[in-house]
Amino acid sequence: MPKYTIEPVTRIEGHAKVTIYTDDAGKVDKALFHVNEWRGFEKFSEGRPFYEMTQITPRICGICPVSHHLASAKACDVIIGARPTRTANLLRELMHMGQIIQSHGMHFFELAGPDLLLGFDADPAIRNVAGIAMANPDLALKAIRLRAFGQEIIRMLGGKRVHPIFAVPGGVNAALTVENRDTILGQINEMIEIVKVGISLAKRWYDANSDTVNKFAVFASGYMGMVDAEGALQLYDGELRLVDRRGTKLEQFPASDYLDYIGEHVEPHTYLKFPFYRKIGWPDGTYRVGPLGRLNVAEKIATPIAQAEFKNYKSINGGKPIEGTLWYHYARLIETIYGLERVRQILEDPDVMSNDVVGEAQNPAREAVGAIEAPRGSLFHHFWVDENGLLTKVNLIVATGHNNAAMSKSVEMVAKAFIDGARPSEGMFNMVEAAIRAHDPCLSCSTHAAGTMPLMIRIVGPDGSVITEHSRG
Amino acid sequence: MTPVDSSEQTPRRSLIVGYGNPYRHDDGAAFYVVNHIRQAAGLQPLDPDDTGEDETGGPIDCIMPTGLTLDLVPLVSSCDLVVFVDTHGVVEAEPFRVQPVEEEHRLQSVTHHLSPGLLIRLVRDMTGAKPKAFLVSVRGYDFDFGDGLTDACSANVLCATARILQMIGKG
Repeated sequence: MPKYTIEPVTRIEGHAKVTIYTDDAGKVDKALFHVNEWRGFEKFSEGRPFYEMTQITPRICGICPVSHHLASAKACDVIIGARPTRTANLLRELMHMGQIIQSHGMHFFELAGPDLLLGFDADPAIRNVAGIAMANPDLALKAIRLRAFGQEIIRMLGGKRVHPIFAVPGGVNAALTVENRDTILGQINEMIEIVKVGISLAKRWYDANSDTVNKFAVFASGYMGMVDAEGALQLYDGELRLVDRRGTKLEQFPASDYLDYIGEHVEPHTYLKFPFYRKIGWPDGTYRVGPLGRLNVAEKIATPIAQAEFKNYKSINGGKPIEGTLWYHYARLIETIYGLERVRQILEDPDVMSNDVVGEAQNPAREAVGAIEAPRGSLFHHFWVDENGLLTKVNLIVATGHNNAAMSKSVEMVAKAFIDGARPSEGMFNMVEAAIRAHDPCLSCSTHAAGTMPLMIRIVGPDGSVITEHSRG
Repeated sequence: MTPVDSSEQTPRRSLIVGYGNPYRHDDGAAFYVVNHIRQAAGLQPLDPDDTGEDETGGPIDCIMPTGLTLDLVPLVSSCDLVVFVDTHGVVEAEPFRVQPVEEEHRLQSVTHHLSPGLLIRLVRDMTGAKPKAFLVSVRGYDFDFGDGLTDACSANVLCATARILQMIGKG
């Protein structure tokens, strides 16, 4: 069977490969999404003191280290039995919003933007952030400023833009200064205007490309995301809500119960596992997370500008969840606005300036779960410790993993819809990449597990037929 | 050793941008160059995990970013002289090479790491700034996993550092 390989998939975090098989008539028969990197954080963390996890796990990723930092800190809170003070939670959330802003901003303007602004079939040499910089230098400079703003929030709190040192079990290690608060507050309006430019660009693109949007990986699935007590979007703390394709609530549960609801399936062609909703089972119980998943489960957003956009988002599919993969981009921009507005809310809260930044340890535990909504979706850190506080087991379920089934399905649907096997073009292959890219996967984050490596070696002859195949796992 | 034009005036604002992996022996030569220059400029040396990007704005900035990305455009555009520092493994090469960085017009399809020439071109396209730019490439010998430099590379680092200090008016 003839096959085409896309490797590496570009403008994502981490390394992946796609294999597309066509029949003799050139029609796409099937497509596989392979994550071909392997990390091992769960395994080599074993035996380390639990409190090191706030510094070990952020090394999984240079884009979303804050999510790992805070998810680990939340688990460590439980292990020492300390509830962070209100100020500590506000400051942690502030840092988290900094990361949402920089990560989402980078994705829209630098990673996805080239497809939308320059075209899926533009010359690959210019279909990238450098191409954006040359085609629209002002927009590129705005994107750099937005990302730098989010990174600066992280630096002001944690000393470094990447891999900050800030959250500790029970709280944070420093209070906010008035100077830093005022510096951040002084830039929020400019940043909101930058994101509004992005929203305006995205809306124009959706209007002009509705045919593509409507046949680009539109499929039914469940959705998962964090919500607060009123059902509003939450990115820092709350319960996890799962809904079905119609938006009907299936479950709402505290993060600590995640194993009761989420199972993980393994396939031999990829190192990345496939989480699913246990009650429905694999594969029908797959769901999507991240911006699309979160806005599909939320009933509202608790900040005004984001809420206005959210109403528009909800109207796209008559109040039901949006199934089109390309709508991830709009959802991501709405969340960026929310992040900016939430920064302002936090900084205008008088409690944020308190020096009371660490809670008292009271009831220690030997098992703990910390969860947060990372830019790419729900992130779980689950630790088990012995009587000396040394880790005996670690389980990390990372945002990109939840979306593995969705990315695989998107790849196959887009390949079938857009690739003409008889006359394949680079632009067609880029659309397959764009199906993955829309999810903003962080494959470095998601391939942390150790154990049996499902390694496959396939030798394919010149006519495309498989000569021999070896696999283990 | 490459001859250099030392008739230039001392730049008002210089930027040293090292890149490479300090955890792969000589691949991290730029990290040591950057720290030698930081010391000469009265700046704290960097840890291997630090980039120095959080403390820029002086007459001489020395950074060790994880790669050359578009995020560097504002900083590069604010300088008169930019010296990129990396490592090469060309056999029988001199201890280090100095070459001017020309604007690059061929774009790359993967932009997680830009070339110095492309970065300089984007700086001009986006901001109009045209800093003078050089690439100083140190000869390395061992690029396997591990800390520290080979003795030969350490010697080359000192030579390259002395040359860069001349270029920025500190030699």
